[in-house]
Amino acid sequence: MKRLAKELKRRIVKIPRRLHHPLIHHIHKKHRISRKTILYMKEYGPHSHVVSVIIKESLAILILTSLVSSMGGISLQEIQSKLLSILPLIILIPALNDVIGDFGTIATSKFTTALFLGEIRGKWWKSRFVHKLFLMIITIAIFCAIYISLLSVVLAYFKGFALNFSIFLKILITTLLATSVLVGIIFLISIAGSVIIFKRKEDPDNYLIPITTAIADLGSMVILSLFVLLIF
Amino acid sequence: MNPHDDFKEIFLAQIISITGGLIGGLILAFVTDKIELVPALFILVPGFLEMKNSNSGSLSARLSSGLFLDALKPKLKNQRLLRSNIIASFILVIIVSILLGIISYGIGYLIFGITSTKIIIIAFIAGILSNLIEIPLNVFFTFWIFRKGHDPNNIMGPYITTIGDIISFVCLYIAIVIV
Repeated sequence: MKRLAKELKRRIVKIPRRLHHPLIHHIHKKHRISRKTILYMKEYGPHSHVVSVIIKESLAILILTSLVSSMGGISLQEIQSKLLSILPLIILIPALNDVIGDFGTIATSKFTTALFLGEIRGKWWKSRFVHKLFLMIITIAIFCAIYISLLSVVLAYFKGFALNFSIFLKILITTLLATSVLVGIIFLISIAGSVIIFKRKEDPDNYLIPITTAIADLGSMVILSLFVLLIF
Repeated sequence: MNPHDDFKEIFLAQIISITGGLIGGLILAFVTDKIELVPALFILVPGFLEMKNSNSGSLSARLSSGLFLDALKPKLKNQRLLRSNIIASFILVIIVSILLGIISYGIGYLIFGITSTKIIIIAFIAGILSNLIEIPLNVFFTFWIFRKGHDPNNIMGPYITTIGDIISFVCLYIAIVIV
């Protein structure tokens, strides 16, 4: 961005946000600046009103996702009495919620940064960046699921929960399945959603991070609720 | 950034996040009875936590993109982009907090017949308090991590959810005490 003359910067930010102006192509070619970087300038450049851009793009999605999470809270409240009898599950709920939501944030923010830097070319599902990112995230997710199960069971045991191998195994399987399935879904939504929003010349960070974390919250609550109802 | 470094950063951050989450789970087991004393609070809590985490996550991701593109300097000084991001995040949290309070009241009234409007005031106060603590911490750590040569995208997500949940729980508790 530093390489651009002030006059050129001023002209870029004045271009309507959805318009493919020849000036963008000119700057991209002449100054070798990624089109995605120019999009960032148009979104948050010197003459744009950053506060209103962020609020306009984030508000609706933030309200929607918060509401979705609140709905998940109602479903948990429905099985509250059952949950109270299985202490490790209560202990692992916030951790499971956090970890799945985190993967959504990581996938979205890393992929968005790569998009802005012009590192994703062609079909996203053929991109080596996406393959490596998924492999890394799913591997970490599996390790995390094992860690969550072990630690929640140990903490529950020290709090006086009557533990046996069958309960431990059920908790481990549920955590592994829930984590793998939810991480897979969230990764797909993050990447595909980022591409769609990016094509619309908007910043995917503002839309997808709230969406993925809400899906993670609701998904983990629903899956856990189902598990409690079916198995315990 | 090297994929091996990425793996190490994300994995370590997640382990810290999980440990924090599990501690949060333990705390939850202890404070559930106190939270239950306020009508409709269980409807507000997941939405409030989600809103706080999403807002902080977006703020950090926007700052990270700005830092990588050199549109933002990793210094706590008066920069237009930084100032605007902070103001926007603050306004968003206040608006959504009030809305969540109203919705929690509405659901509570319709399903459980709760008539107390305390929940709206609790959501508003908790929103302001958590903003005052979380936004400066979020900005400081994003810049600090970037200055140390790490990718904030890898670390800030887990950090935000761990710290954010704890701060939100504390702020909700303070709001309950105030109201």
